Amino acid sequence: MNSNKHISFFLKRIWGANKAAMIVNFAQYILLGASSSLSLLFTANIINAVSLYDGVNPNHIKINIIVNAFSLALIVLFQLFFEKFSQGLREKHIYAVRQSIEKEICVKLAKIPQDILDTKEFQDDFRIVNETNTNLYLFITYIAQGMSLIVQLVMPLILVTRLSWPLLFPCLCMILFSIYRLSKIQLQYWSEYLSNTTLRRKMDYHVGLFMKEGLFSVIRAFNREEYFFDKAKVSMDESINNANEAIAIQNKKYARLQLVILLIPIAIALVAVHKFYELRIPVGDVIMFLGLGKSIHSAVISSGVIVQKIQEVSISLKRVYDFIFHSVDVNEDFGGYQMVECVEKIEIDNLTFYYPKSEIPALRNISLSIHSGDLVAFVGENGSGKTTLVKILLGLYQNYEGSVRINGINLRNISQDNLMRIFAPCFQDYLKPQFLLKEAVGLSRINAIDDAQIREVLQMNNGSDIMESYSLDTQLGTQFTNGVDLSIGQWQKIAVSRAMYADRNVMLADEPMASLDIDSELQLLKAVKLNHKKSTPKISILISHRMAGIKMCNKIFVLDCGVLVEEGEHEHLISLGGKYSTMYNAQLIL
Amino acid sequence: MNRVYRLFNTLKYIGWTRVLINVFILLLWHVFPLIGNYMNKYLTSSLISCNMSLTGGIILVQIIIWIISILLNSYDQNVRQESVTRSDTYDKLELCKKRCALSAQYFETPAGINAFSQANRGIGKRYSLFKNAVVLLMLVPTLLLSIVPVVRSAKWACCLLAFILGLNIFLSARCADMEYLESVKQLESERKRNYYKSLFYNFSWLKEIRCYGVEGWLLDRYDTVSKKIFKETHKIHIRSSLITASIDVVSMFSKLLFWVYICYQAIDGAISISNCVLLIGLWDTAIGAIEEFRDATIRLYHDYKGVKDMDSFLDVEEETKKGSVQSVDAIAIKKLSFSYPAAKDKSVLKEVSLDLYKGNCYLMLGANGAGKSTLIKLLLSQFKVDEGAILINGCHDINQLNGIKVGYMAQNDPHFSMTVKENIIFGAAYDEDRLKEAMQKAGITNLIESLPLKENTLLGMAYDEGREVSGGQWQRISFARLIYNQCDIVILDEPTASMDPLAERDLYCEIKNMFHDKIIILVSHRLSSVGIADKIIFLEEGMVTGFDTHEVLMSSCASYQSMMAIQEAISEGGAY
Repeated sequence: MNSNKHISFFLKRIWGANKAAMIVNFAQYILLGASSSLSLLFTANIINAVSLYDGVNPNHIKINIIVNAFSLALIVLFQLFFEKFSQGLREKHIYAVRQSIEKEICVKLAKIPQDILDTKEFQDDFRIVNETNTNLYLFITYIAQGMSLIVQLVMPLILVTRLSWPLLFPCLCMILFSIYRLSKIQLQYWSEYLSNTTLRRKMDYHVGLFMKEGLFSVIRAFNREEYFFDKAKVSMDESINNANEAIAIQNKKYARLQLVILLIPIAIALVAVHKFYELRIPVGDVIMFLGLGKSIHSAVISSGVIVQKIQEVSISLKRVYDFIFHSVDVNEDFGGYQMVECVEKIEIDNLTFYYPKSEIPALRNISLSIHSGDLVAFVGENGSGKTTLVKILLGLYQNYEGSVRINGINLRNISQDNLMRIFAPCFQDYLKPQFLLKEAVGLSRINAIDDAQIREVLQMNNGSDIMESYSLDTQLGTQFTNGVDLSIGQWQKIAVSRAMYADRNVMLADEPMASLDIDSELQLLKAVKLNHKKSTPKISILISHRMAGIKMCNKIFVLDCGVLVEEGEHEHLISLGGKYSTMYNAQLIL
Repeated sequence: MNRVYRLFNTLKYIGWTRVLINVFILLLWHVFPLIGNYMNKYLTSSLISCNMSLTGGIILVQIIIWIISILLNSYDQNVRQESVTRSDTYDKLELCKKRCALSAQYFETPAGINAFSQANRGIGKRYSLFKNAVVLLMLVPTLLLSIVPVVRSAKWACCLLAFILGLNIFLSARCADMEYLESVKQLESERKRNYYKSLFYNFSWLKEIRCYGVEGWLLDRYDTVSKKIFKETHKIHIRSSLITASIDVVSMFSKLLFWVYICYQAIDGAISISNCVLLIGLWDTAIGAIEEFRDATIRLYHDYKGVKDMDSFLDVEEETKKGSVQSVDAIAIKKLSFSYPAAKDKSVLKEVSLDLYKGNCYLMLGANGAGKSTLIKLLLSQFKVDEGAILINGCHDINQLNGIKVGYMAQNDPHFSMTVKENIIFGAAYDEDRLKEAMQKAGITNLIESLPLKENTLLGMAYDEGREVSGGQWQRISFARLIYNQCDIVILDEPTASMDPLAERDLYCEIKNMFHDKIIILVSHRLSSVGIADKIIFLEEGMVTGFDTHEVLMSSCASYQSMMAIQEAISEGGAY
């Protein structure tokens, strides 16, 4: 079954990470399994030696006792040493394996098209992948524990067989039957937990409302703390009650099976006592068999649990495996990539785009062209598709119809790396990176930051207040020590500077003036214009709702519900008296 | 005293039956090994004396004990998980309740935020502390019952056991302390590591990471931080495991010594074989009890720390608020000065004096950082004023009032994952007509009609069934919330920041209509909002340089004029 590919993949990965650790780990568990039976054996020998003492030659017996006691001590010492040794190796091993898988997941994430990332379906799936990632090493631990349990079952069985032949077959059947039945019972709270996500998420959400200041400040303003507190209480109770019902049922089945398995130690005990009276086996052996019986009992129980745990972990590992290997990949290399060094022309023909699972198109039959040297603006109501268009140009969305060509080359024939080198975006939900100031601005060339250029770009963006208060090596953001909290306007300036510092062919700014005051708005427009003229050829694309500033653009595209309704320069659009004109006039100071 | 009261409440919430069952099971778990040892002794003596009925009886008792322990175990599984969940829940609720009671400004200071996050780490620890204390109590008789026979047969064993006990406690406490200190040291690095990972896991941040091509750089940083954390914690783990190993070696050799001694005694006839068997077993039980004692002490130590953190947060003094007002007619701000607790030297507001009356719309204008958001936060009583006062209706200090309802639309308005109806009603009394009116006035009736369950549709990303709506639609829903909850004060902090001009124009008209008899405070950078304001509050660097109508300010205030001029310049397109 191909569904076992994931197991072999992970086993290979774990083995490859640190062979010594894996061997030592397994050896340690096997030793652990053997040690319990061996210690029972040696203890029995000591008791036997004492009880069988017939009064003659005490030294012989004493030496016997010392030898047995010492062997016992050696076994325990050996096992202890192995345990500590393997623990150290195991930690290193876990770390290595987990790091490599996590990094792989991150790399994979960065390749998935953005429109898939934004879907709820993907996010739900990914949340489960994320939660179960830590079970990777558990898989090996469970297998090792399984091996230990096998030893824990085999050794006592051998000893029991020596006691009485006929006991072997029924014991073996009982053991196999019980393990099979146990593995079917859903014991783990963990799997319950996974399937209980809705209620648990509801509870987490309601409690989270109190933990996040942004949400809580609105609740406080409206004076509704009590109302939301009650909601949190109710959802907590719901979650508890739901989880516990299922567990209670499973535990009853579990207890019943355990009672049935109890027959094994009972049988062994009775046979041992019987043999004592018949064949005069030593007293110590009787005690030993009582102990062995109990240890078989607990080993059988644990085996059932382990089998079931391995099954569950295997399911979650499959999810991680599927994520790494089967998710949609942007860089499906079909080898037909062409290079674009410098953007002369962007042509869009009949572009139509639907968001995943949506029946209404976000963009409908858009056709436009942008040439080198253009200062372009996209305007339109919220939801008209402006940001979507920009994201398609950036290669973040792949699943569109129609054609987008840069310099005549189809967008799909340009690699993601290449696109990265020509476009410099400043998003509406821009990043507020908790890095150093110069890293936050110089993100595009983070390995070779030019301080002078950073200062120049910040100056151009009216960021002198930032430079006066903070040096370039200041840690931004309040997450880490010595971090400074910047105002929204300052963060915005840094975001725009970031795009300008990148000094790429096409600069895209999505609502850069949203939270800026009037003075900063003017400075930003000046900066955009300056930046546009600075390096030729350049294309600057601006999306804005502040109609006054976009007059300077030589190409204004007006979108309405995903359709391009008007285009041209400012005067032309005003004269049309259409959408643009209405929006422009709405913002005039009356 | 408070602590005892809280423990009592926690236990009550968990349920007295559950608590008693937990305690009873803990008792039995620690008694069983002892009983097992005595069983072995009597079995041995009965076998040696060939007393079949006694042997049979003992085997029977043994079987019964096995059955009881299985049943108890299964019962315990049921009860234990539920108790733990309930205790966690109770602690979370306590934290939430306290959060409501404390003023917002407590959470703005770094000390406050730290205290709160520390308290969060103490969730569930109180019940765990109780259980561990019970375990320790149970262990005392077990220890005594197992040690006394041992000591009676070998007096020197007493010292040995005491030595082992002391070694255990002392070294384990050292280990625990070491690990705790290390984890505190690593907090910052852990946060860094989680931050780097979150840059990938937060998909809206990820797109910018991709566009600037810094995935590799980020992963390197993530790797470096992880390695550092691992190295340090690994060192500590090795050290502590060596310490525990040495304890185990010592205890093992002492067991060896004792066993050999006892066996020699048995051979020399000083003690009977059955007693020999008993003592051999009792030594293991005693050592087991000592180790359990050690583990329980460590757990108790950690739990105590957690409970202490939580209690220090829960014990923070709340402000007693007294008084409330029926309606707000006027807000008087008198010589208000304020600076943030984290930056006491930078004065954000300087001697602001304003008189706001109901029935007026006030527009707050000013450059970024002029103090607009700060003034809003003070009006929301998120902070306490440093100097001066904010008086409601002329005589009530705003910080002394209990619950002024403010209709607040925040700048980055949060999206609440509830049904549309709940989002709008927001906990107030339900009135169908008012709801319909609110939806209509906010312009979302079409949106509601298009949803599958109309106003009972769940919104937001928190749940599977939740639907997402666009940013503009969320803002309209927030606006409907304001309309429905007719509050005397309406504060809108940049409500149209991401709205297109037409939606913005509609919103401004609605604001004027719906709240004409309330105090409206509007913060905006869009100068077209001047049109709906009765009076403009013009802030410059924390001071009010102008408080009058637009026309008056245009003629009297120079900086106001230049600001308007900039707007003109932008419109003309000539300034750049």
